[in-house]
Amino acid sequence: MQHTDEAVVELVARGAPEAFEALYDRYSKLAYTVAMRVLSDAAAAEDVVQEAFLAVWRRSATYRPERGSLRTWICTIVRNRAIDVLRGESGRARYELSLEDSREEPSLSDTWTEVVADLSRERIREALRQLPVEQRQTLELAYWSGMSQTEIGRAMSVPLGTVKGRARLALSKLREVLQGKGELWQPH
Amino acid sequence: MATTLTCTACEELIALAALGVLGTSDVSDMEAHLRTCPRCPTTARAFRVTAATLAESVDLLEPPAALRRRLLAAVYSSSTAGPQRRLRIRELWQRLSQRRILTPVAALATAAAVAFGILATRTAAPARPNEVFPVTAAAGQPVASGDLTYYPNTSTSVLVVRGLAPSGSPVSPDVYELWLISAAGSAEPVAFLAPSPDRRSWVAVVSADIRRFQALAATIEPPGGTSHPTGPQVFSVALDQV
Repeated sequence: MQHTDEAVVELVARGAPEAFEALYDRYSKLAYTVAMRVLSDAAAAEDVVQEAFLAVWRRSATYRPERGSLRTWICTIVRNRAIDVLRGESGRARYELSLEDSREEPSLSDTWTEVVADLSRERIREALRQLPVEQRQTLELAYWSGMSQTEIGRAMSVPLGTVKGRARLALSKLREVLQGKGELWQPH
Repeated sequence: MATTLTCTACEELIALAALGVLGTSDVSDMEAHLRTCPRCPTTARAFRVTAATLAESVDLLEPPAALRRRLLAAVYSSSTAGPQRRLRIRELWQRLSQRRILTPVAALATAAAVAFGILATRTAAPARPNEVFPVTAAAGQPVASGDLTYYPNTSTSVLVVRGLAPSGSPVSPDVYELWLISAAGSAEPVAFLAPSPDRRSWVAVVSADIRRFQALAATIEPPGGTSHPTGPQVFSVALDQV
């Protein structure tokens, strides 16, 4: 029997190292993959994953399941830390749609979160392949390279407004394609 | 001062934010719109979840085993819960998990419990007799003593050592790391010693078939441990008769 993320993270928040161990075993591959994809450096990726999981250990009480899945939370922590390392400790001024802040947001009652949780790697790749190439490149540069929006525009030789438009269209289209392919999704 | 955005313009900023590339100069405009718009906050969450799927698009890589050992050593050693609270937490955890595998690091907590009789029932009487091996102190640790009890039915050993430098003393090591030494002389990391609550002894559970090895040894290693022994040896346990 595999217990839920919510049960595991609750015990981590209560200081149970055994639960943390289970959480690590569940998400360490994903975390290490994300760190390696950003940094392309095994030693640096290892450091980032270690810092990220220690942050999870210390801050697990701040996790709110209604605001996003645990895997998304961990991915976000790892990726942000990896990009900070990539760009130097000072990093660039960056704003995130935080998963941890206290501002109230409406929950996604449309089961989109559940759809995402059931998506396979190949299905996500296939959905990305369906995006126009310039939209896919915008997503990948933004998510993995650590470039700012201005740097992305420069790299793609397009104005900043085009970068913004492509990012919006790309996420909208990606969501639409993934949702359409969410075979496990059933309306409630 | 925040300017008024259309929903489309706000969605562009939301997309950049979800991807982690929104510049701080645009934040106030976006947040002002999000506070008043009935629709865009939902888009914000949807984009955030969608952006996170990008992480799932690449082939998974296996992190190094040493990272797991280092991280768990840090977490177990930083767990500040007292014995009673740890026991309650463990009970909760065991109710959730019926098939948890006891790894060397996780076993540290169990080792402490076994050593102090908290979970004595976990070590059921074996059909084969247990074997006890004495600890031999290395030079520089003349007062280290103790023994290793081997439970052949479960291939598990419990090590209890006394006389090691207490935590926090000037001569305290960062960690005591345990190694199983093969006949060929190679060292395999197996566990860390954890101090008992009264700091008078140190305990560890070794979940391995020690019959395949010549000896168990402890060295002083930097925090998190290492993959190969680098520090001075503290003690050893000859396993020749197992």
